[in-house]
Amino acid sequence: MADAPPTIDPVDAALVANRFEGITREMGAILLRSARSPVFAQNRDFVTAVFDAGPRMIAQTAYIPVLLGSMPYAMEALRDFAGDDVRPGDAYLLNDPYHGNNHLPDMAVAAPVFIDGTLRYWVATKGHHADIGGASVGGYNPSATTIWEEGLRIPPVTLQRGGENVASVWSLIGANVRLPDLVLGDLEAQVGACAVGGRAIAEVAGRFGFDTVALATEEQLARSEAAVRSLVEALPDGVYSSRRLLDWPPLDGDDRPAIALRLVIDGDRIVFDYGGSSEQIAMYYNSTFANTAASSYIALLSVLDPDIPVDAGALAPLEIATREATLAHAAQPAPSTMCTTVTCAVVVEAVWTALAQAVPDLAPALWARRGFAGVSTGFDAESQLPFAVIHHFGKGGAGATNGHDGWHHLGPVGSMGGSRSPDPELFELRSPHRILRCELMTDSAGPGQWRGGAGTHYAVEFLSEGSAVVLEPSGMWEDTAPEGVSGGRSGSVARAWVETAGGETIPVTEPVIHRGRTGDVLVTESCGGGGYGDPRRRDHGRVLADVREGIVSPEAATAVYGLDAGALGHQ
Amino acid sequence: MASGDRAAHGVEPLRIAIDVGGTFTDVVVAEGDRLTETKALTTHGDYAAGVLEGLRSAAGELGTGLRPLLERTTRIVHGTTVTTNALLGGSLPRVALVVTEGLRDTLGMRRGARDTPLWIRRDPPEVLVPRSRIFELDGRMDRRGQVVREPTGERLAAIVEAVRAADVAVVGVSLMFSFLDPAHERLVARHLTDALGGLKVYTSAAVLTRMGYFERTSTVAINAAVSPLLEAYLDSLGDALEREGFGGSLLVLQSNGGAAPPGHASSNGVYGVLSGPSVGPVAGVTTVAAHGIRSIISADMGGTSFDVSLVRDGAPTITAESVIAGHRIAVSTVEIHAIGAGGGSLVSLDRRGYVQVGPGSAGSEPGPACYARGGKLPTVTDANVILGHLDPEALAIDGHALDREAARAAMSRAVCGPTGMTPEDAAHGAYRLVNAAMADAIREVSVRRGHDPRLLPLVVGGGAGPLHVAAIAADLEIPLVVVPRLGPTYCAFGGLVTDLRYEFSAALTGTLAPGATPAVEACARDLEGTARETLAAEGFAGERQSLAFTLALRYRGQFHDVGLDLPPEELADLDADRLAERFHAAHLRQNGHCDPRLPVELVSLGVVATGVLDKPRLDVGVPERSGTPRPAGTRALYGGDGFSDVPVYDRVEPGQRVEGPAVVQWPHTTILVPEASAATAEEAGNLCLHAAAEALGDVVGRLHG
Repeated sequence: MADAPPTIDPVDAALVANRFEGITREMGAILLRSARSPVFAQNRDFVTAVFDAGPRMIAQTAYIPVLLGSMPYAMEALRDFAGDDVRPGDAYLLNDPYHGNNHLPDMAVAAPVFIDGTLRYWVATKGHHADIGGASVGGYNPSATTIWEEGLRIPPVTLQRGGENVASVWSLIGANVRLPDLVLGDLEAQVGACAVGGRAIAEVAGRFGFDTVALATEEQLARSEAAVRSLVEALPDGVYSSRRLLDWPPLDGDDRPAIALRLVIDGDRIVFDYGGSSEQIAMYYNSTFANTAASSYIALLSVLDPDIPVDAGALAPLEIATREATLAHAAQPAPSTMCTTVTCAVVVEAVWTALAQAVPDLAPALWARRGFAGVSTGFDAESQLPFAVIHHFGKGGAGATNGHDGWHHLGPVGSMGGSRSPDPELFELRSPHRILRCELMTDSAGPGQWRGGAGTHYAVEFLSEGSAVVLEPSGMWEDTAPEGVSGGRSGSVARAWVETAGGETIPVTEPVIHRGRTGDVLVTESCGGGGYGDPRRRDHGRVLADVREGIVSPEAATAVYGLDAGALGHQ
Repeated sequence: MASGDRAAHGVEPLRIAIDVGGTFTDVVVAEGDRLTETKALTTHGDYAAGVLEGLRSAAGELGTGLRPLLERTTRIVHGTTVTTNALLGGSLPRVALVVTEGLRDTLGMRRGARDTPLWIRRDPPEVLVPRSRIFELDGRMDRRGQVVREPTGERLAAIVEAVRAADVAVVGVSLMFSFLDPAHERLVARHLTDALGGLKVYTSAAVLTRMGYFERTSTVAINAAVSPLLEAYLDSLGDALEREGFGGSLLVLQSNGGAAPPGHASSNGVYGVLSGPSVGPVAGVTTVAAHGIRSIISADMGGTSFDVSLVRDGAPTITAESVIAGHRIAVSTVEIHAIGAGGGSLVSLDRRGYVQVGPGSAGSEPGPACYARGGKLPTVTDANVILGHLDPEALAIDGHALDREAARAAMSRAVCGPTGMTPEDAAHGAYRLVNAAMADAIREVSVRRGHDPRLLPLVVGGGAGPLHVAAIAADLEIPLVVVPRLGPTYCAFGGLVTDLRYEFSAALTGTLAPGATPAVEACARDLEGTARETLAAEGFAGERQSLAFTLALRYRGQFHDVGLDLPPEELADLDADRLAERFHAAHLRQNGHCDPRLPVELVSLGVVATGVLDKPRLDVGVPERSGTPRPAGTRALYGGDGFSDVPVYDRVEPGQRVEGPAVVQWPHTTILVPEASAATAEEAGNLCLHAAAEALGDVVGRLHG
């Protein structure tokens, strides 16, 4: 008779699981403290994770959602590269979108952890860097047709060997980016965070004993998987299909590229099949496999249980099926930098639209994808300094859910409110712009029993000649604006235009780098979020409050929400 | 007044501190150096009544009545949650805001962020001021504080009419770049107060001289909302105290860990939102000060949360990044990292079937199952009762002993059924998990900020803390835990040992260069004048005035600044190069890197003006007495493998030492001394936990080195 398998006290197992999660937060704290670029330190655009030797992900902290569950793919590529010749003090790097990464600006660093001389764990971090070279503004280049116009591509490489930097790799990267101090400094911070994580793991193994910790990990992964399987099992079996379009570019005929999803729920299995998506395109929207997977995870887990710890067990029941060289799975030489915001949102929309067929009570109405204006760079004539800022002021509205109105001015979907806009004063101090208006728009919110969040009217004046801004249309068509669910209506359509100093009005209809003249005013209007349920069933008190607060017009209150004019008169 | 604690009637004057918490109102009376503490139940709805009840019971403890007690009292320092509770869901007065044209949604947009991104099914937050009461001024300033457009008379008149129609008693005014030039904000305020008698107007630059439009707008809006509440409360409390014979000075605790007179406190209500908890770290560092230790971790565990703070070189860590009850408050605040782990935290199973503690809480109503007041869910307190850590008889509530069977039944229902664990094992698991969560909270303020907890003593207050603290210390290898004699009334104790503390600041602009120092020096003189005048007006002169200047600098283009302490003697003759060197070094220390080639920007100059108050003298030291006290009895504790009897001590005299495992039972708290640990009492009555293999003196000596 075989020996009974060793077991572990569930409290010990929980203690170890909590401690590993704490270690990923410790690594995050190091990055927050020592990283130098605002994207890392302010926007917290990074993820930290611990893997076993597998490598199976044991714990992670995603500081913005789109990186949740994106680490395992890069980790696998790095482990495969490192092979058997791994030593203590090694660190490995990649940013290659075709090797498990999200997009070029994200750099993934992993380091091995040895316990009693044996490789037992990996610690890893991935984050968005301030620059990655190439013909881009802040990492984005709407005219790139291949990856080589987007920036420096780094396949898996050795960054550190036995505790010593591989100098040639560092100097190669430094020579290919515009801000080498920031980029190399942030890489140092990533390596430092891995070192701290490694020491903390060794301490845990020392305290509990490696065998106990390993048992705890098995227990944890099994329980996480069982928990997610039971959540999936509760979803009605079936095949649910959806198709969501990009705003741009036009293809043959009237078509635009699409993410097509067949969501197959079969018992405790769920398959996200993106095989029907459009072929990849010669523009920066192509989603990498890791980005498609991560976008699917956040779309599903936000609906099922936003609190469930994400590890290899929790992700095991979620199968991602793609076809290479499609919009959902970029292959060389497809460009991909915009996939973490725009295409991520389109994938999330596809999943939520499919889930709305399966579980209409739980699925949200769709959100605004992102604001028009992205990164701005240029030269500040007054301070005589170059500048780079992010216009996050044009955020759109979030979708409503059953029982809850959507939030105003949130997003993009990939960060779900995890990234803050700059402060208006800080923005004006740091760049030659004046904000003329940043205001919620009346009747932008998708009507519903629960209405969507409102979109934003953003008007900004250029005070210096030649400032460049990446303009990215999002939600400018009826079929790309946020749809409502269960009888709720869509949010408003987005639009943007430039009022030139010369008095002309130029609409913005395609992705472009706009170079402003002094006195030009850029105006963007983002989408409101979709509504949930029939607007005529909305509580009249809520409609009246929305009218009082300027979110809904009196006309819409009567025409869409069915209030009688008399009720409004008593406002 | 405040400085002169004169003896009245030829008897020792009294000083009193009162902290109103969620469940208990704590009172500490200092009669010279003799300290007496009492607890009364907090009276929600009429806090003043609870304060008087607390004072009455303190009087009883001292063998006197309320009136004679108050007649002898020269000073009352008060921590109040009136404003915090109002922000947490109580009713706030109607507020209107005047803001810069085009930016009326700045407050409601909360910078486009929320703290739990994946929670897509959640209501949007209630706004503090609705859009319909936010009015726009057409004047505009630019980033240099230059006027781009003057406000028009028509718009000012329209704003006055809109405010009149809005039927509000308070208005906040927040305009772009007012921290550089507040002229437009003052103009609006003047128009409003001239036209609308009785209206209170708060301007953002007067509340906070700091860049950040959202931060200032949020801070002035909260100030406008809470100040009238605080003023009304302090007026009624002051009257009530006066009626009962109090003729001394009333001071109110501020979020920065100091105290302020009621007039100042109630026109700057936003500065006191953390009134009370903010002095925990002050209490902690004062407890060990006589040992010569100036850096500690302070922890306070009550019914709903575990609050941790780091104190470095005698000063609590200060932050301007607070979010309280979901509202951004950008004033200087003692940094408190709080997690939802208190006696009332619920024990349950998570989706994976693991035991978890919190984040839910049974609160004070219905409370833990063992209180037998309707609570059916098990809590940390229930776990401690099941494990024998708490004595059901000693902790009787209203004469009813705690109900251990109710605790076991609740634990069985919630945890044991699904897992097959015994109630004792489930309770032990919850105990270990909550200890680990608290250890992690301590890592957050120490390890994750670059401070080694193995070099820092842990001072623990609150009724529940000493049950857990030895286990937490063992996890983190913290060598010394101190339970202050007044630990159960930690924040009231802090109120007795803190000082008056005002802050003034001014924005600076330009680059740090030799030509810029005269402007900084002039700014310092202005601030010093204001600070000394304010202190003098409160009766603080000479030695009782203490000023500390901080110059905030950053690299051009940076978001965060670094503060440099400026000794007053240096202020008359600043050296730009030396300041830059100090800035680079400080930046390297705090952020791990620096770049001496980059230009350094002036951000602001601030001064903390301290009015030094008399305090009780705390005898610390371990007398030569030795030996072990006699146990009052034994108690069966569950340690994972079953119950075993350990001695219980109700008195440990200064110098005496107790070997673990043992329980020390104080009237308001229970201290667990685990195996291989010892507890040594020191002169002031504090109990010090340390490794049994060492003597207390050796541990303290090591923390100095």
